[in-house]
Formats: sequence, structure tokens, C-alpha cells
Amino acid sequence: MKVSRRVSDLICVSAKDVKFAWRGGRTVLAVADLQIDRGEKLFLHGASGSGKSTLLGLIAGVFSASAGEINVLDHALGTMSAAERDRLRADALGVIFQQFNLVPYLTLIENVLLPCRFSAARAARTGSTTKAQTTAALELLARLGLRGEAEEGRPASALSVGQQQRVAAARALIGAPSLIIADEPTSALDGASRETFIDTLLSEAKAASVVFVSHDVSLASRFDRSVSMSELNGAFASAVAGR
Amino acid sequence: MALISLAWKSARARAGATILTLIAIALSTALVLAVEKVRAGARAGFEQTVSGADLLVGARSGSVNLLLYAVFRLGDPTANVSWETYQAFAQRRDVAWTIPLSLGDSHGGFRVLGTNTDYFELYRYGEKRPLAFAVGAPFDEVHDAVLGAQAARELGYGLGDEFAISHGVRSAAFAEHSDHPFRVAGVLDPTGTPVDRTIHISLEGMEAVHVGFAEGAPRAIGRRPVGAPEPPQPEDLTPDAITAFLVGLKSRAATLRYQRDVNTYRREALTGVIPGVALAQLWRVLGPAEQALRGVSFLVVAAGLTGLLTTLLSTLNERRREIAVLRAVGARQRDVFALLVLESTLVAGLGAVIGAAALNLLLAGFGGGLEASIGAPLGRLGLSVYDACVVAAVTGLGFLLGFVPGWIAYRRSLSDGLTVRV
Repeated sequence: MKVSRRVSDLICVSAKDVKFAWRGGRTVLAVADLQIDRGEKLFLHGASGSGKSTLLGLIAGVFSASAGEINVLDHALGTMSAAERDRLRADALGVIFQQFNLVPYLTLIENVLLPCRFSAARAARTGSTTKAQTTAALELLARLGLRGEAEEGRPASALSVGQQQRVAAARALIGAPSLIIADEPTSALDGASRETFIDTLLSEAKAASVVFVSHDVSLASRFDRSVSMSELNGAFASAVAGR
Repeated sequence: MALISLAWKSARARAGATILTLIAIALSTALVLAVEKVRAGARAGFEQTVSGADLLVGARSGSVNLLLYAVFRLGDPTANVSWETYQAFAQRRDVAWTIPLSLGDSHGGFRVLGTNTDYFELYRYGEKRPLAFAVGAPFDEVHDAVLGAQAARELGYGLGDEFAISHGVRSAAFAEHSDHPFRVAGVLDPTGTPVDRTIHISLEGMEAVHVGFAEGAPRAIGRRPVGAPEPPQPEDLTPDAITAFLVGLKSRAATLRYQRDVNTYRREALTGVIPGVALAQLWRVLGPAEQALRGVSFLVVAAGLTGLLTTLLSTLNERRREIAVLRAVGARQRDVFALLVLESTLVAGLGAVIGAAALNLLLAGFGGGLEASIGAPLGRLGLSVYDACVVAAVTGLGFLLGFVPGWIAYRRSLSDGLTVRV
């Protein structure tokens, strides 16, 4: 079955000989080879300063690599303009930060529907009308245990950190993106809610690939595969060795 | 569309700072418009200090000089117009009416003007408005006087009060014509013109004051032998000369010919000026002050807009997070730029509209009272093209100022990437 499909259909992200350096600075990231399959849930383990945020920025198309090739969902990022990469991110990616995920002056529903404002494709997948989109956002928030908060129309700033992270997850999941990038989304949560958050995220992500970054190795068992930044990032390894 | 609603919600979320900025911009916009309206109103009022008269004729001098003493009662005439000359020009066939004006004396700092009762019927100011009496009536007797509104108010005179007038402008006790007390026969309504500061008496009254005054000083008591008869009261009080006269012609078209005849009159050196033209000339003398006023009001707008820029720049740090979030959900860098430019434009535009609306509402409500007190026609200056231009200019400047925070956020979003900086 799989043989009959093109290889690119199976691959979500591939990076070959990718290097990144700030203008005039030393190379902070060097990835020889990284491949993430479609639907794969990848655990990326690394301490701060290991280049993980840079790697996520490259995959999300916010940064562009100094050298090498990155393909995301069959798009060669190196050949795309910044605006085209922004479009791809709006259409097909969901991003969760460590904290401060929400725009404080928008309601929970508005926060969740933010990607739909920047991507017509995403909006269409969420619902055909504004009303349908609102319903979809509400249902998603309800599955994440935030029905009451969403219906009350509370401002995002009134939520606890754990609730805010769940809203962020809903925003990343809305409109069925193909790739979800989560940068230390659980580091502000305590043990129990951390597990619940990951379980919910992975089950809601369904067919989407997930790149989950954390310094907490104990979470790795819940993912298909685990990769360590210190092994992946040649620049980091050499920098550590050189110290 | 998405960006406009985001920019609006963002501005609303910082309501405190946004409202203060709005107030600053609204006030400064209102100030610019108010200055312009007062300026235009003052100019219109000024240029219509005298209206309806086709020509003002006096002894040969500059037109502004003639205007200053004959209309504004400022300074002294260099020479007079003889009664014969006045009669010659007054009785021409193309003349509809004339008003003689004879200046010289003063009382309590207010200039005394000798004229005849035609003055109260034919004199026009503003939009061809006639003089109206608050109390009393035009003078009837030789020693009757009609006071302008301000003169009556400041001197505290009412109907029937008597006062003496002094020779020359300065009130000097030694030179008062105390032999000839004048009686207040009427008080005029305020006009917002020099008429308000004028004491009107008849030409005969003025002549009576000066009988036996030919040397310019009262005769010393010692020089009149004791027992000598009182100086005679001449029966003929027709003056030898007047200061100037206003002319109304039967046909406006005759104005230039009449003016040429005045200016080339051989028996006496005369100057004839068209009041509106000379007033406009005089107003241009005040041009620099006008420009300074305008300049200051523009500086106030600059201050208001600087406040807007300061507010936007001070919010940039707290916005860093929300901008990272917007970038993560697919906002382009130019969207981030546009967001700040939009917010700046919205606040500036709204402020300008509020300012213009508030000023025009105030003028609609209180313009009439203001008009009466400063004598400038403000009430009829409603929303104008100038208002629209100022509102558009303030909005445009808000748009341009938005480029500053917009550009900073644009640059920052490039280096921040997907990292939320705290």
C-alpha cells in the first residue's frame, strides 16, 4: 500500500544539512538530517540554548536557513518568500508556546479562531460560516474542558496558566493543521495536568504530526519517537565540546 | 478587515491610554479649527467694519491712515476737508447719501465723533446691518449725545446723564469744555466695531464746543476784562470743515469715476478709498500675527500627535507577546506593521473627528453669544472644507506616525521568531 504512494506524501518535515547563523554570528544550529513522518508524534528533548527554538522557527518558516534544505509538507521553504512561508504556517501549522499564548483583549473563542483570520483554507476546514466556526471552536474548547469558561466570554487573562495552555492547544488544533509545534507547552504545569494535557493534545491531533519540545525526558514515553537536541544539533555538540 | 478589528480591539483593551490620547488629539484638532474660525470670523468682521458705503473721503493721506482715523478713530487726521468741498461732492447727481464725520475731541478716553442723524439711519456694518438703539433716540438738540455700547458701559452713563468733553484725545481737566455739558440722548446696541467705543454728537454740537476755541486753548480768565460781555453764541453753527465723509452712490458702477474725481480734485488735496479694499489692506498688516496664531495651534496638534506616538511606543514591549502569537498563527510581518499603523490611524482619525464635531456642536450652541461679544460672525461658520482638510491631515499624520512603531515591531518580529519574549 505505502509503496504505491509518493515518498513526499509520507513525509511531513525533512531537513538536510541545515545550518543557521544570525547575521555575522557563529552557527547556532547544524542539523545533518531530520525527518518527521506524517502523523508522527516526535518528542524533541533539549536543554535551553540547545537550538530547539531556532529549529522550530526554521520549521515554522519564521526564520530561513543559512544553508541546507528544509521541506515542510512538500514545500521547499528555501524557495519560498517570507509571505509564502507565513501563508503555509497559517494554513497548515499549529503552534503552542510555553506561556503567554493568548491575545489578552480577545475572548477565548476569538483566540482559538485566530488562525482562521489569517488563512481562508483553515477557516474553510473549521466551518463554512462564521457561526459554524464559532460552534467548532466551542466544541473543541468543550472537549478540552473549557466549555464554561468559553461560554462565559471571560477574558483570556482571567484564566489559570493550565487553562490558558489548553486554549492555546485548541488554537493550534483548530481547522485540522498537518503539523503541530509545541515548545515546552507543559513546563508551566504541574505533574498531573501535564499528563492530561499531553494525552488530550495527542488524541485531538489525530492525523497531524506533532513536534513536542521539552526538557523533561519522563514525558518521552508517550511519543512515537524521541530525539535529543544535543545529538541532532551538530553546532551545539561542537560548542559544548569546545568549552 | 481582520486587522482593523484586531487594531480596534487592541486600542480598546488599552482604554485608559487610548482615551487620553484621543482627548489630546481631539482638543488639539478643536483648537486648530477654533483658531481658524475665529480668524476667519475676525477677518470677516474686520473687513465689514464699515459696509454699505462705496467710498470714504478725507484729506490727502495714505488709505490705511485715512481708515485708521476715520473708521477706527485711531490717531489724528493730518488735515480736514472743507465744508464747501464736502458740499460739492455731496450734492453730485450720482450720490445717494453721505455721512459727515468730524473727529477731534474725546471724553473719558472715548473718541467724540461729530456727525448728523443720517449716521444712525445709513451707517452699515457686518452684513449690511444698521445701527440699533438699546435705549433713547438720535440726537435732537445741539448738546445731545449718543453713546456706543462700550462707551456707555465703561463710563457708566445712562439716558439723561450729563458730561463734558475735552479737547484732543487725552482727558485733561484743564482743557475740558465744561461750559458745554452734553446730555446722553441714546445708547446704541453692541456692534463689535469701533462704533461701540464712540461718543456721537451732532456737527452743530461739536461746532458749539469750539466757538471761541479757535486758538486751540480756552481763553485765560485774566485776559477777559472784568465786566466784558460773554463771548457771543453765533447763530450759525455750520462747521468750517469736517474730517472725512462716507459716500453711498446711486450706482456701484460709478464708484471708480467718483474716486478718480476725488483723488484729482484741484481745489483741495483729497483721498478717496473703497472701505472694503482699504480694510483688506489693513488686515494684511496684521498677517504675521495671524500666521503666528495659526502656527501655535499647529504646534499643539504636533504635541497631541507626539502623545499618540509615545503611547504606541510605550505599549510595544507588552505587545511583543501578542505579536509573537499573531506571527505564530500566520500573520505576515507586514500584517504586524499594518496593525500598528492601523491603530495609530484609527486613534488619530477618531480623535480628529471627535474634536471637529465637539467644536462645531459648541459653536452651534454658543456661537451666537460669542458672536455678540467679540463682534465676529462665528455662528454661520459651520462645518467647512477646512474642517474636513484638518481632520484628514491629522488622520494622515497619525497614519505616517504609525510607521515608527510599525517599523520597530516589524524588525523585532523578524528576530523574535516564534519565541515569546517576556
